[in-house]
Amino acid sequence: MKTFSTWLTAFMFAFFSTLVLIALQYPVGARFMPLVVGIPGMALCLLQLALDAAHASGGRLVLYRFRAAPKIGKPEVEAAEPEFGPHTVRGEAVMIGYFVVFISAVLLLGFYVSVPVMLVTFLRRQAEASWRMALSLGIGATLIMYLVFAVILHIRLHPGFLTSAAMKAAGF
Amino acid sequence: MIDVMFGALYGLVTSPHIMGLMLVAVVCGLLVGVTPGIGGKLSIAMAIPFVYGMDMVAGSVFLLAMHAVNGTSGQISSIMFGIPGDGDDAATTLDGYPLAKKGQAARALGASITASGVGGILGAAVFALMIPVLEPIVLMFSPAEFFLVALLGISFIAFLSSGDKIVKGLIVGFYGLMLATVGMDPQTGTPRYAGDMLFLWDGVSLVTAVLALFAVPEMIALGAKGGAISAAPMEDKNFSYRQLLSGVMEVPRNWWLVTRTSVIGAVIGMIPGLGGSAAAWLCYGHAVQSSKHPEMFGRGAIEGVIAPETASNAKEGGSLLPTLFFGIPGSSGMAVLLGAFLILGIQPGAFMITEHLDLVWTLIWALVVGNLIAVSILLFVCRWVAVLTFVNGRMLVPFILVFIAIGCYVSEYQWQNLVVLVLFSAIGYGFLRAGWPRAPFVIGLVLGSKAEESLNQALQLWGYAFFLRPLSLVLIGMIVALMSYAVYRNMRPSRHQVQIGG
Repeated sequence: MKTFSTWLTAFMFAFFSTLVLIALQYPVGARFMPLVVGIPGMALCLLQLALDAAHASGGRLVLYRFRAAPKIGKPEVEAAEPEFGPHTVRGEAVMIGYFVVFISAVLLLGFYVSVPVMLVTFLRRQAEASWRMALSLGIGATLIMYLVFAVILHIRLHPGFLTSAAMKAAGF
Repeated sequence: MIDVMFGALYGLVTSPHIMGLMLVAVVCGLLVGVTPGIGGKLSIAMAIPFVYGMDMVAGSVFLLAMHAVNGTSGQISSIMFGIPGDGDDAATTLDGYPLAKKGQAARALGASITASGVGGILGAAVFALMIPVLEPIVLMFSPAEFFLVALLGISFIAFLSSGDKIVKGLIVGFYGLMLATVGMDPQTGTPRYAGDMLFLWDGVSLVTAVLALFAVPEMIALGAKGGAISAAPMEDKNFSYRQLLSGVMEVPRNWWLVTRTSVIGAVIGMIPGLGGSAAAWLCYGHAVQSSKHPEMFGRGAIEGVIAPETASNAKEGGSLLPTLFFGIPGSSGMAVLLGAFLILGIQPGAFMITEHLDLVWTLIWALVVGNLIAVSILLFVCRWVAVLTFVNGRMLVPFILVFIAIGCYVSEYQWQNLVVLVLFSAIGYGFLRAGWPRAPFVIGLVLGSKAEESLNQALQLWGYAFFLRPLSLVLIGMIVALMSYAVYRNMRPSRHQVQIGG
């Protein structure tokens, strides 16, 4: 029963429950819709947890029969590798790490510092591009970003808290 | 009606701004359709921030044209390499790839690209013909019905995208509805779940939520897995433009099949829950049944390429109908498109007929013109476009992540949305990893405020008796019937289990 999907259902139940509890503190008019949505949401999560429990017990029965099959001469079916599983955990952790570090870097250092660093690092380490290609693509993409947003559209992208502070301290 | 119809066409083709945007949208849509890892939903999610400042017409035409031509280029890898880009293209592979192996790839491509374009145009025509029929039905809807239609929409999308996992689909839909309650309550002015965070007083940013639920999880998965969609070596299968032209001529030669499958595709597109690849497979089956030599199918019958391609593009016109007039997206791609339309200020419902009929006609013409542009471009460049199938997914991931971060920031110029993006992406990736459907979230989030407004109006007008209005009872009956069928599908033992266990 302790599958990822079941944990996700439990998380969603906690999410709906928390929001329903918070909604109870609001005036009647304001809490009506959160309760109309949140309580059925909690009920659906409980139903899904019950279905997971039922399927888990049913699954054991199927597995038992499946293992017994070769004894009576049935061919054993080779299971296909699932899309996600222990074999993908490392790759997923690396990707999530890149994403979180990139967004944190954008917040602290701004787009114009974070984007070229992230592009070059990712292209070099994950996509296994050559240094020449990674550098040219990273710098080229940053230049295009600057031209499109700063020069043509006059859009000020987030400068980054540390970069802003450093620029201010330097007198810019 | 005739004035509005042709006025919209005139307005569309005489505006260099809109035609230029359409050209960009078509090129982007075609590239996205053939590139590994970027689906139609993802492309719309990424394009939303960039249409934010556009006017309603230009923005909606841009997004619709991009969405409509996605499938037109997806067939190229099916025919050239036997690798379908998605479920819609799988039916085309059955006869397209055998034709390519016989050295007739160009003929198959000519027929499929033209059939796809003609299907898109005929699908738009079927949508146009349905407008006078639907007008009185749509005008019967009151706030009570719109609240129930929102619930029906979430139920349909949960059913459509999750099949026998409808409870998970509904949880995701209710999650979207719950997030729609974040922000200032319209009745009492209470900032719900926002506290002192002013950026949340206007509600959760739809752009951020859509990017977090669709774009980021797909990129993390693509980066984790890596690789191109095509592992096969690229061979030049005797490509010739003479052969391509002979393929194009197959479409008028099979005009009756094209007409039938276009109508079937458009009608299937109108039925929420039946979209997706159902149209392509049903029409493939219809082509086999109605053929004089069914034994040729699966070995390289040109009708087996024409029928699914016509149907899968015709359904786009059909699925626009429930999306625009009832707020029920005909497919999960349309759910994301609906979210984008709402951002542009397009409210689905009766207003579309009474006040925005010109916009409806503009969108119909955008489907027609977009498909014509797509076919014209693809017939010339299909040979080279196929090369994109070999792009390593990991080369695309960092650029798309940059695109996502910029889109999230420029949509409201709030750095806090980047933090929200990370938090929501964690949940979005959880949904992807656990195999939960994500489309119901969008429909819940986009219809949430409309549903709350309609519910409040209905309660003020009729009290709880609004549930007993005749049309409300019909809609409640539809929701109950759908839920009953879904529960039945959940409870019955699956064929797989019976086979293994029995």
